Amino acid sequence: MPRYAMTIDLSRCMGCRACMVACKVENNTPEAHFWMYVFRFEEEEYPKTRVWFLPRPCQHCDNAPCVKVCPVGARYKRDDGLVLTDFQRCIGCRYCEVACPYGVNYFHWKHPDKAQYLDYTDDPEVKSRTNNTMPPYRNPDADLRYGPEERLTAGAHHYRGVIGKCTFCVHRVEKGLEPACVANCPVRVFEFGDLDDPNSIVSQKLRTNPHFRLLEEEGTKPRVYYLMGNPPSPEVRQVMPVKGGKRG
Amino acid sequence: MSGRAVALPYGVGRISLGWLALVAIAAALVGVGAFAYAIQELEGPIATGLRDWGTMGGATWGLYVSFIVYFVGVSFAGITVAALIRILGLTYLRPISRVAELLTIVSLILGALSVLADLGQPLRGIANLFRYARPQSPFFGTFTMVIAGYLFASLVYFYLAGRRDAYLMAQYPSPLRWLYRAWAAGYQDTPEEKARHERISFWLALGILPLLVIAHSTLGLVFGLMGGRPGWFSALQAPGFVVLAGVSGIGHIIVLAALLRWSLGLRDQPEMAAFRWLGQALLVLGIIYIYFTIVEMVTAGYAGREHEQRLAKLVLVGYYAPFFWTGMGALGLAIGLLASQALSGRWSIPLLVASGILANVTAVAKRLIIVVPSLTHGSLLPYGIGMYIPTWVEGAIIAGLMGLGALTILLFMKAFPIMEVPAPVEEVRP
Amino acid sequence: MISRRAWAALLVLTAGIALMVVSYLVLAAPWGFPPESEKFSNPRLAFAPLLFIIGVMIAFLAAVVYELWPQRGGKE
Ligand code: SF4
Ligand code: SF4
Repeated sequence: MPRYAMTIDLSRCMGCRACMVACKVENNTPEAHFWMYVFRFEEEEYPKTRVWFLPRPCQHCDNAPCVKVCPVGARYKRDDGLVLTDFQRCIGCRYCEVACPYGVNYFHWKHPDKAQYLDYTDDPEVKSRTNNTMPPYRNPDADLRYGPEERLTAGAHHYRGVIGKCTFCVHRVEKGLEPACVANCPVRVFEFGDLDDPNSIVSQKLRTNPHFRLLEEEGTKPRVYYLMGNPPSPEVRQVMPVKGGKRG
Repeated sequence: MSGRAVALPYGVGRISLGWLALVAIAAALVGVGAFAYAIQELEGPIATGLRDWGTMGGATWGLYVSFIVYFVGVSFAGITVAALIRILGLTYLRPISRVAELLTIVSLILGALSVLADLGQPLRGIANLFRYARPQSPFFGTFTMVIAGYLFASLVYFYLAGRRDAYLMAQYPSPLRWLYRAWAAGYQDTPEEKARHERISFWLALGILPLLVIAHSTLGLVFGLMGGRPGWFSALQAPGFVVLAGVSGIGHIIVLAALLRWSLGLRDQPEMAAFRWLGQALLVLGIIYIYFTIVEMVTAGYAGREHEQRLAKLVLVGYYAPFFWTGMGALGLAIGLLASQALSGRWSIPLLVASGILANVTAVAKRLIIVVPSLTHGSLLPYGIGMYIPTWVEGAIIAGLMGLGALTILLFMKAFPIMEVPAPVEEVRP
Repeated sequence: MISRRAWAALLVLTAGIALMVVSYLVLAAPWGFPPESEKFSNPRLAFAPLLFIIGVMIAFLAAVVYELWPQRGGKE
């Protein structure tokens, strides 16, 4: 059984947020839901201002508070380390969201079809450009059930009144592909691989680079390692936050 | 059945104009609440002011969760007082024991309903909690202990304690006689049966008290175990919940007892001694709660981590200060009123009622202060601060639930004596 | 000498507590190694939590049994 982990090289990230877009396309997340999010930070005062970026997927914690608190076992940790949500079991109590210190959970406050960026009604204009299909596209892989229990866990499945979050693109990982954010980063900030395999790229990176994990002091034991950099101090200011606002 | 009209005790079966007016108000509230819930079901939880914390800048839990805690808290005192009456033999409190038990049952049901209002998938919630609930989640305790176990235990207690009165009521000709007969289930009020009932209710009370403490502690642990949430992670959370539950519940009992005494035109029941006992209990619990709050704030503000300090400041002098100080001021005022009565030894019912209401203002304000600020301002990562303003839908649903509670108590009053029937009535067998 | 009534109540009480203990420790709580394994996100037996609740209810029903147990040689 592999032990999946992700590394994020902070010295490379330039804050372009391509990973956020890749995630949106791959997982079809509704408006204002950012399963992958890139903080843009500003530190110190002019003229010493420093701007830096920190991508924030779900940390797929080994000691995940969200898994512990889920009353019905809808949020669970697979043996390979992925922390997933069973969208058919979740009752929408949002306890996982409250318990997670990283703020990576997004609840479907309204019907996801009504929460997409565009109103995809049968628009001939759109159809003329999309080869006669109407977005949002449904990735058939997302309909598959994964793991020994065959639970419905892949993204792109959105139901009203349940929680959603980064899945490490379980439907891609199961096929041997990298998560969408990893594959789409133009400067290869992310690496994804097996910690148990000493030759995997994440193992090598971790051996050769200084690294930290976010909010390690909370005891959550994240599976996402940040290379070359420091955790955000309480003094950093977030600039250009997304306009999530009150849309839900 | 004979046609003779016999006046049943405590206005059972007699419908007055005032009662009708109250029922109409309560029913109207229920209607508004049901309408609001229909809107929430059609549009989804978007109809509430709740949003995700983090990038979306909202609060994930809000009014509903605060009121789950509040309703369950109110239920605490009812059955505790009923149990203490048995265990400590406080006979002068006996007249209010039924209304106290009823309060417990009603507010527990309201608590369960507000859980359903909060869930994104209420129907799935009912099924999956029975099917998959995991003991590792603090919700397991809340769900099994509070909503199922404790509600059932209270119902059993309520049922057994009511048998004697049901038997007495069945002596009168009335359209509800079948109900009284069924409830009494063969009870005859013989000395033997009385002794048996005393014995069993003592044991039942003894069994219910630990269940209560466990139930309220698990509710506190829902918040107290969250290490990643500044302002929640605290060992004082569980005992604090138990004490504040007592404060709000006793406040309710005082108000209800006074309302009964007034509306039923009883001049000496419940006795002044009962009110004095309730007042003293409220005073002691209120002082303990103030002490807990001070300890909590000192710990968070003095030695706490950066985020704890920031949150403490926010609550004490920042954005949430008006709520916090309204709550604490109300409690302080209630304690002042009670203390002055205790010192002078002269207890007055209007003042007691005022302190009961003030105690409940505190309870609601404190629940909101526990739930919301940690979500809007308590992030450990540098997300922006959030905001939460409840919508009218949330308010209407809560108001509807309160109306439902009032309606239940009002209807019950007319079907069954709300206080223990004092002496055996003479036989009027037809 | 314990009356038959008390025996019945005790029996119901024990049955309730036994059901609670068994369903909590054996059927519901997923304990094992490694503790975070995904098998342990499910109760061992579906609806074990329901059994636990029924256990709590049965335990408290003992009181009703005690009071409603028909009286031997009584008036009714
Ligand atoms: S980051 Fe949050 S949601 Fe993801 S595994 Fe950790 S606690 Fe759970
Ligand atoms: S919202 Fe769903 S996944 Fe999260 S704790 Fe509740 S039931 Fe579990």
